[in-house]
Amino acid sequence: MIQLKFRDDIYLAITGIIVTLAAYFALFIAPAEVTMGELVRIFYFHLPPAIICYLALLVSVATGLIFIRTKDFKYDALSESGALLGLVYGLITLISGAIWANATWGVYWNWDPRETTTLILWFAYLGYFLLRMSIENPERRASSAAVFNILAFMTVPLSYVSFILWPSLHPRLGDDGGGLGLTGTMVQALVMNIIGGVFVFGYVLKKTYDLRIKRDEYNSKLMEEM
Amino acid sequence: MPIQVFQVLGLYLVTTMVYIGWVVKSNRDLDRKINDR
Repeated sequence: MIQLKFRDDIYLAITGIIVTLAAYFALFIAPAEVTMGELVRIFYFHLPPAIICYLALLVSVATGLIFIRTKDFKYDALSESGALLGLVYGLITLISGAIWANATWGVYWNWDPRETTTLILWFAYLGYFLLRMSIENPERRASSAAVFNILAFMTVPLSYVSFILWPSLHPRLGDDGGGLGLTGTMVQALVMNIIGGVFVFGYVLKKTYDLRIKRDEYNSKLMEEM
Repeated sequence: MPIQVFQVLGLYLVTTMVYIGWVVKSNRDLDRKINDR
């Protein structure tokens, strides 16, 4: 019987090639944009972490819901791992967005709807971890976190549609009112960077999940010995 | 090329690599601890 085994080295080599090619494409092949000039290249490294943040939180809330139904702690571990990665990539998105804002608007932070709702999202998931830390009983912790996750996840669509709901300076794709007009090579650079980012996300999600499972295993061994 | 492009690229790459380094090392340390018991 053929057994499929996750090979870190092969996966990382493929990921490294994609990420390097994507960065090279974004820096040297894609042309400058009409209104933003060379600064548009920030976009290729700002949008992928934002997408990964949303994706990680989607994984987190979906597996949290599965935990509520099944009470299988593996889903709680996956949910927590997704939320942690959502926090990490959310922070990259917030800081890279602030750098871009300063370069284009002359100020790091101006409470733009997209900035503000993404910050709310980040604090909502920080609250998720504070909640987890405050409950000792594993089953109660996992169930409460899964319910809180549903509420916290509402900030994701809010952040996504914020610039439609309120007046915003945040550029949007395909916008004819002063947004980003990306042409063929630019779209290719963006897609390559998104694919590279998703490959990295797959790896870090698996490793974070493995770590969580091993921690549980180690803690239960300690408890047995006591 | 504006410096901000490299700031954002650096932030993205360094944070990701530091995270990967941390998670891989923590996995390895826990493997060792579990095997020692």
